This record gives sequence, C-alpha cells and structure tokens, in this order.
Amino acid sequence: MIRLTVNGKRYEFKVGVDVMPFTALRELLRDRLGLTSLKEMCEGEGVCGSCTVLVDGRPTLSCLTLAVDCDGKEIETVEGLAESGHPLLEAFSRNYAYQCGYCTPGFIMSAKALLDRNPDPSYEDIVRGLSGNICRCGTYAAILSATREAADALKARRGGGGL
Amino acid sequence: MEGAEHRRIKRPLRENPYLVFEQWQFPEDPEFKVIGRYVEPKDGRKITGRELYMRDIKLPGMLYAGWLTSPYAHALVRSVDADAIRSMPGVRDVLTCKDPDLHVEGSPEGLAAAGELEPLNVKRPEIAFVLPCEAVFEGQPVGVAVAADNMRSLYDAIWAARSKVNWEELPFVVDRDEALRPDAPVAQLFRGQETNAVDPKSAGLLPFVPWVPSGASRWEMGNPDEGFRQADGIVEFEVKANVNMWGGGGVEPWAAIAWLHDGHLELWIRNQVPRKTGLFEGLESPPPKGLTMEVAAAVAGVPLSRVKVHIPYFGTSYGGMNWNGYSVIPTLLAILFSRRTGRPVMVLADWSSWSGIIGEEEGRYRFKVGFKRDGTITAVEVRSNVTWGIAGLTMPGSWKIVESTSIKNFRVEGVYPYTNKPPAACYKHGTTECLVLNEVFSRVAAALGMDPTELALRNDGSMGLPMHPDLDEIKAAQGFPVRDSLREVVEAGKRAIDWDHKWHRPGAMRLPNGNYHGIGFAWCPEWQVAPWHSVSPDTAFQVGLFLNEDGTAVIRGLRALVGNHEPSTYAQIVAEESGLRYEDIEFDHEFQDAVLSPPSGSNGLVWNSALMKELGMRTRQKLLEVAGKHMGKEPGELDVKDGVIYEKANPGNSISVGSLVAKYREHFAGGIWATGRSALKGTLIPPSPMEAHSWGRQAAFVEVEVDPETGRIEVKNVVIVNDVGRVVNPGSVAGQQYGGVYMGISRALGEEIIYDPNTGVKLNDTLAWYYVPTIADVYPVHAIAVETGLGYGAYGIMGVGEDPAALTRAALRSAVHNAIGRWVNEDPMTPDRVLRALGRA
Repeated sequence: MIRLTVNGKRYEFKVGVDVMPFTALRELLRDRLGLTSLKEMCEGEGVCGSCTVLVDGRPTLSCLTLAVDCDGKEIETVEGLAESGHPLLEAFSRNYAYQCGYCTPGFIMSAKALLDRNPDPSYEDIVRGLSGNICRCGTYAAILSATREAADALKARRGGGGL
Repeated sequence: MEGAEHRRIKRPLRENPYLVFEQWQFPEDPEFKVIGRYVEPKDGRKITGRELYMRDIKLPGMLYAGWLTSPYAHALVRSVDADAIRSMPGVRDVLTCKDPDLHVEGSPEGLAAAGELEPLNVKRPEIAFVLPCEAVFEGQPVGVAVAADNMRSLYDAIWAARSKVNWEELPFVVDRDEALRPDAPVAQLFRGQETNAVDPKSAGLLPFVPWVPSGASRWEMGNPDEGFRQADGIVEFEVKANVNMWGGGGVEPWAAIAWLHDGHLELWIRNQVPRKTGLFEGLESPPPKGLTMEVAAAVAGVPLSRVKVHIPYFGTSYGGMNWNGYSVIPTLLAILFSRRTGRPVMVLADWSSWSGIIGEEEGRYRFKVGFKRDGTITAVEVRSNVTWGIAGLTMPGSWKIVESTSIKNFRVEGVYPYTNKPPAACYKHGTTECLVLNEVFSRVAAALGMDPTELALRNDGSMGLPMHPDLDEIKAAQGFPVRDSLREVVEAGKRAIDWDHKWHRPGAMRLPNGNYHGIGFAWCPEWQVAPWHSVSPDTAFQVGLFLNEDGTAVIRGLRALVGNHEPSTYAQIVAEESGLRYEDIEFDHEFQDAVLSPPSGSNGLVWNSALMKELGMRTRQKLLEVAGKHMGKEPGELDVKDGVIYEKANPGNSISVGSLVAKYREHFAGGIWATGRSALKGTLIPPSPMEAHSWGRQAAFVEVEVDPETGRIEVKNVVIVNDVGRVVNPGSVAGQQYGGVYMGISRALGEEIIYDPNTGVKLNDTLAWYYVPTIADVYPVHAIAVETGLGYGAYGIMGVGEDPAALTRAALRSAVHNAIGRWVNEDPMTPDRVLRALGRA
C-alpha cells in the first residue's frame, strides 16, 4: 500500500493491484486520478518538463519517478493550483504566455517551485528555474513576464506591494 | 514616409529585459474599440490542464494501436509472424502490410479521395500507403500494426514485432547529389522508376503556383543572359541547408481516435484541414489536402451524415505536416482497427520516429547574381537540388524573389531526387524561400560594400516592377493605401537596433574580449494567400452566430485550433463590428456543418477575417432591425454598443441584446450567418493572380558576437519588424514574433537531423539528442508591429507567424558574415562550420 496526498486530498493505492512496482507517478496520476495536466512530450526521457509536478515541494519529472517511491509524500499539480486560485495561472493567461498550451502546466509547476523558494526572483533566476522545460512555440519571453507578474501578485497578497 | 516622431506607438504588454513589443501606427490610422487592443485571451483554460488534448481522451473499451517503424533506411518486409504477435498479452488485433483490408477498394468516391492523400504524391487507388511493405526511410511506419488493451501491452508488442519480421535490407542513398548519379541505388522501388529523378509535372505540384508554366523544372523570366551582360559585377556561390525536425516534431506526439459503431463514425483528429474544402479547386493539380471527413467516411464505408468530428487541441502543429499524407495515417489506421474490432481505437505515434517523418526542406543551391554598381540587381540564376517539398511547388528559392523584387531576369533550375530520407515540407514560411532571397541580397551587398538595407530598398518591387512609381499606381488603383512597407519596417528596425552606428565592414570589428562583432539584416514579403484565392473564385466558407437570452453569443464553425488565439481574435472582430461585448462572445470550433477556411496555421486569422467581419456586420444589422420594430424606430436611428441597442438621439431609450433576444426568440433562433470566400482582402480583390502583388514587408536585424577560438555564435540582440497590416490582438502578434525569433535562431545555430552516411539512420531523433531551445536560450528581442493596412485580409491585415522564423535565420547568417568577414556556406552554422569558414578546422 502506498499513501499519497495529491492536491490536498489523501489517496491509498494497493501495490500490485492499483499500482505496479514499475508504474511511473505520471501514469498513476493520469490514469487513476484523471489529472490530465501531466503531459507527455519526450516519452519518458526526462528532458521536456511537460509532466513536472511538485513532490514535497520539489519540482519532479513524474515520468521518471516511480509511484511507489512517493509513499507518504505530498504531490501538487496545476489542477491544485487552479482550485486554489494561484496567481501564476492568471499571470500566464494575462501575458499570453502560451500558444498551443501543451507545455504550460509543466512550466507553471516549475514556476511555482521557483516562487516557493525564491519569492522575489530576478529574470536570471527565472531563466535558471525554468530551464528544464521546453516550449516549442517559443513563448519564453512572455513566460518571464508572467512569472515575474505572479511574484508581484504574491508579494501584494502578503502585503509587500508589487514591483 | 513620415518621420517616426509622427508615429503613435503603443506598448500594450508587460515588458522585461527580453521582451519589448510595440505597435506603430500613424495618428490618422483608424482607431478601433476592440481590434488592436489588449484583451484577455479566450483559451486560457488550456493552462489549467483541464482542456483535453488527443492523448487525454479516454473512451469506454478503447484500444491503443501503433505500428512498427523501420530500423533501416531502405528495406522490404518479406513476412511477418503475425500469430506470434497476436498471442502476446493484451494484443487484440494485428494488421500486416499483406492484409487484404489494406487493398480492398472502396467506393468510387473513396478511391478518388484516398488518391488525393498519397503521402508521397503517387496516385494509387487503395490505402496501402497506410502500412506498406517497403520502407523507404528509417522511422517509416511499415509492415505490421498492433491494437492492444493498453499502452504497455502495445509497446511490448511493437518491440517484440521487430524480431517477428523477416527483413530484406536494400541499398539506400541519403545524399541528394549521390542520388542523381547513374549508378545510384533506386531509393523507392514502389514507384516503379529506374532512377531517382522526380518529374515535377508527373508529380503534379508546380501548377500550384499559378504564374509558373506547368511542369517547369527550368523556368526563366526576362532575359537572364542579357541581364548578366549588363551587370557591372557577378557573384557566384553555393549554399547548403540541412534538414531539421519541424514537421512531425510537434511537442505532442501525433495521435488519432476513431470509433466506428452501429454504422456511425466518430473521429478525434489532429489536422489543420478537418474537412474537405474547395480551397484549392480550380487549380490544374491540387496538392494533398490532409484528412477530410469525406475521406474518412469513404474509408469507413459510412455516409457523411453519420460522421462526427472532434478536434481536440494540438500540442503544436506546423504547416506542411498537415498537407502531407503521413498526417492521415494515424486516423486511417484507427478507422481500420475500429472497423475490425468494433472498439474505439487510439493510434499513437512515437515521438522519436514520427518527429523525423516530415522534416523541413533541405537543399543545395548554386547562385549566380549580376548587379550594377548602384546596387540594381540585373539577373539571378538559382540551380538547386532540394527536397521534394514546398520548394518544389514554388520554383526552388525564387518565389520570394519574384514576389517581392523588381529584378526582371531570372533563371531557375531545380532537381528533386528521391532519396531514403523522409518527405519534407515548409514550416513557418519555408525557410528555403526566405534564405535564398536573402543570400542573393547579402552577397551582393557584401560585394559592393553597400548597406544591405539600401540594397533591399533599391530592388524592392513585385514581379519585375519597381515599387515606385509603377506599383504605387497599382496600389492606389486597387484601393490599397499608398504606403511603403519595406521602407517603414526598415526604418523602424534600424532605429531600434541603432543600425547606423553599429553596421560596419565585414570582419572589421573585434571586441575587447577577442570576439568578432557582427550585425545583420534580412527582409522578406509576408507569406501571402491572395493568389490562391484569386484562382479559386468558387471557394466558399460559412460561419454562424447564435445569440442567447443572457446577451452572450457563440460563433460556430468547424476549425482546428492550433494555438494562435483564434477564439480571441474572432471574438474581437465580431465584437468590433456588432457592438456586442468581447467578453460575451465564445467560439465553438466543432460545429460540423459550417466550415471555416483552412489551414489553421499559416495566415490563420487572415483566412477568416473577412468572414468574421461580415458576421459582425450582419449581427449588428439584425439587432438594429429587430430592435427597430420593438422600439418603433428605423434601424438607422439606432446603434449598438457594449451589448445594448439604443436610440442615438435619446440614449436612454435602449434595450439590452439579451432582453431583445428573449423577447423576439423567433428572429434569432436560426442564427445569423455569413457565407463567402475567405480572406480575399475583405475589401479589395485583385483582378488576377498576376496583379495580386505582395505589398507587405518584414525585416529582421540581429547582432552577434562570434568567438574565433571556438566558433561559437552568441546572439546579443534581435529586432524583428513585421508589417502586419493591422494588429488585431497584440498578445497573439507578439507571441508569433517572439516564437518565430526563437525558431529562427535555433534553426540557424543548431537544429539539424544528423544522418549516418553509412547506415542512413538518424543519429539524433530524440529530444535528448536533438537541440530545441529552452528558456536558457532566451535573447533580448524587440518586436515591432507596423500597421500599413496593405494586407489581403479584412482591415488590410496580413499574417505574422511565418516570417520571424525564416527572417531571423537569414539575418543571423548575414550577421555572422558581418562579424567574421567570411561566409558560412552550410546551415545550421554550428561551431565546426564557423571554424571551417575561418580556416581553422
């Protein structure tokens, strides 16, 4: 049995029944919980970042992570951010920081991890924090604006005002 | 041309050190309420992960299917042990290339339709190309396909199938020049040819460009020999452009779903052309049209009344892949499996094989260019050996020169040998076209020591005519504004990059860090659509608008959405013209029976702008008529604004759109419709293809440093200037400009599929080995949208997405020459090639 907390809700899965020892976290979250934000681009090579989730707050490639290794851990996906109204989503939309949108959930989760550990990132910090994700449409410059705008919004929420 | 100080410059987006976006207008240009202004995007739900892409869809009992791909550059599948594959866990069905289902002829309509879809431009009255026995390139679907209960069983079965096939390896050739040698192996046996030469006429594609004589692989305009005799100088050179991974290489691995049950066919397809249209009809030989509902119905054996199409979002989709027959293989295979199993079937392509299936054109070009001392180009000769892609359609490399210069004398010769590489097509403009135009201009400018922007202005024109005064007169006669697009984009770009202070003689500026400094310029006309429409007068498209009792409205039509924010731009145009509120309008893109103009990529908005404008105008008229009856007024006495109809003389006398619709349901229940030819300027129609001149111009300026020790090129600054005619949605325009710049840089500096000459097999066919830029490659980009109104769409709009990718690549080549004083004659300009140009490798 493994126990996961996903977007604040607790789940239990029987190993060998609900989840196999070789099941990737990505497949478990998509197939069992219907979390379609975990996209697939590089087909499990771990180079595109489209399936990024947060595992205990750390950005993690769910295609390369075994589900059974996540026992007892907290997992966050963009669906959870949407429910909580995280400013990143509004900022990505407002700034047209997507075109086809396929890679966007992965970018948002990498940005969430960045802002959690660095609430006031420089643009260079953002570049470093998001360099593990690929956007073929090339929306990178707008993603920089969106991430910085979300940082400002979070700062304003905390009472610190925006840049 | 008025000075920039007379401009009205808007900067509607949040800026950062890497993003500056400006809209440049004249004060006298029209101001719109919604068009050209920032609006919240309509498709923002994509980012929550809840919008469904193809692979997110699950249907009850759905099977997963895929195929074996060839590990060899050229091979025959002699036999398949299908029983062994069929006995594997979870496998439900196995199809081999010998299966009668692939060779059963359908209805006459089906045969004709399938013939149009041939992936390799060969007409065959069957659908065997879905799964052939001969693989003509590595990675081609071949021999055997499997349907299984789940993806794991599918992948296990496909992997095992490799050892269940009896292969016969065949001689191959991947080099374009070698393919033309008399002793070269025949690359593609199924064609029944004895050589690898392609006869363009038999392939039937050259007539695609209306002003090219049919079947011409050698084409002349004017008198090139006389042009060379008149020249004060002649430059001759050769450039090689290598293939990159754009076609299949969308980020979402290609997939399709079919569910044939109880005589009904339901499809989930990925294609920019979801339904057959008359777009290309009237041409002598239309190009492949991609999958259509009509073809699917024929293959499934059901009437059109029993076909329903869903078009999930695409994880990127670029140009030529949608025109090529390979784009329909997943869908046709899904239909076959669903017919055989009675279950819904999702066919999955694997990224590593599919991404290389359609590359961008590669080619070798030999140039001879004659010019006068004042910069007038007197003759151009281009001899090329290129992939049989869009370049084959458009006289390799010369289309853009004809379309956008006053050069009178051309000679173009093209050969297109078949090889054991995948087919190719153009993506984001077909870089070869723009590259060829700019090679001509860059080399002449360098030979003369002339500012390349001045050289471009001196030769600007269309179809041999100079822009001034000849084309100005035609502009005026056709109702266009007499604006000078090239001069406007050049002046905007020069000012933004400080060209007059930075441009220098090639190889003349060494920086304190030891690097060379270089700056480059490239220009191009926007990829235009007007000539196609001009030869297709009967093409008609349709769109509807349905009003609700709460005042909201839905635009309905069939349209693939690929990521250029069309739900927003359509709503903007309809809101502008109708008086409805932008936020009250949505777009339903799966309405089966009103077909919007394809394709969804190139010139995406231009195609349908006139239709949307018409829809908005008709909606306003309908609202005024019905409200007039309600209020006892003539329609002319009323107006609509922000979803409220009111009396102009007494604005307090008003009724909301929602109340009007609720009260007079019978007037609105059937919807409001607009029907007509797409694009075609919306306002102006050129009298003939030869008079459908390309007025709009685009320019890129790139600043680089080149390390002479390593050959590394560092992009320091990019200015991209697009005459978009009129900005409809600033966010969308900026996105296309920025995205294109990244694509252009990555094409110029690193994107290349490497083939092993000893095996003909790709060496870098996964994202781990193939260079795709990340945010770590972000460059400072200053994007400027100039608005001249010189486009063929409504409001004079023209496309924006094509050129930045092509132009930036060309400008980068020019910048590297300006830096090191040598030409890098092979693209992409990898460090080893730069060092070779410097004589250091």
